[in-house]
Amino acid sequence: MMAYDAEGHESDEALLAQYAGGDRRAAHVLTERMTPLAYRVAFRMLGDAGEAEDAAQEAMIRLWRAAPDWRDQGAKVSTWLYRVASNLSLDRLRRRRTVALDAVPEPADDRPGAEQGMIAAERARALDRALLQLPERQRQAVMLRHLEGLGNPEIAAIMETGVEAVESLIARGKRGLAEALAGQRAELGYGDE
Amino acid sequence: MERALDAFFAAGRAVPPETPEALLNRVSTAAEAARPVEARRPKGWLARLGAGFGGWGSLGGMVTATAVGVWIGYAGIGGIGTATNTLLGTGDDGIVDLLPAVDDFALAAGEG
Repeated sequence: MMAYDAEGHESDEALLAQYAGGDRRAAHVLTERMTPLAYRVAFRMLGDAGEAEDAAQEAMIRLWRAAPDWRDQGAKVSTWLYRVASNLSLDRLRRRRTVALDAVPEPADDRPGAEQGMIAAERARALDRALLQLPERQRQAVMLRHLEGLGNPEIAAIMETGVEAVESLIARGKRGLAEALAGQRAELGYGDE
Repeated sequence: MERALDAFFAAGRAVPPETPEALLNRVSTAAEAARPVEARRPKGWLARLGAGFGGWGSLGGMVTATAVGVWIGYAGIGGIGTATNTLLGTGDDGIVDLLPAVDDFALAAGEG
């Protein structure tokens, strides 16, 4: 795939409008910029690379289809995509049979696993495993807040709930994460922090 | 524990799941398939002028007719004779008699 300036200064909304006008370059920039977002969300919600790919692809296809009717009313494309990718992932989770916690799939991905960056990658994997042990809504809220860096009002909009509910979900989620990771802190070089 | 969690979050942000190249390619293909037809660019004034007169063919005819009109106006009506003389090979000394028999009949009637 050709290299495009995915980190360019054009806003997502401007690029989507250009795509709606038939601009091929805008499609490439948005693909490079937004697909990783959809994939990160889906991967961390589902814990399965294959399913995450399918969910992310579906979310992006919906974005392309929504482009001609997109109305600039202050809505952010990223907020919309976070919501769609999250909801598609939640749908998939609900279709799965209930699984025991110890049967939670091991997140499989191709992050660097050797030498430089190995520790960080191990920590990231441990976090992903711990996230999968949280109830879905807590997982979603914690991920959006602490891994995607969103503010609580935007998370509330994505999750279609109130800010207070988001705060509560994040607080409970972090307690759950702390318990899940307690046994791995020393192992992953965090000592007694 | 808060600091330890923050360190895990920092690792998660630093090493996010890597987006598969195949997924990017599929999304790109889907974008192309769903891409709306490129909007036509607004035409320039010259193109709009041509279109307004029914295309360049019609406009060409109009330009020719206009040029002839201007030439007639400039040269005067007497010039038409010059033009026809030149084109048809006729002149004051070479009037073409289209109905010579009429003159003969009038002459005969006058004599009669």
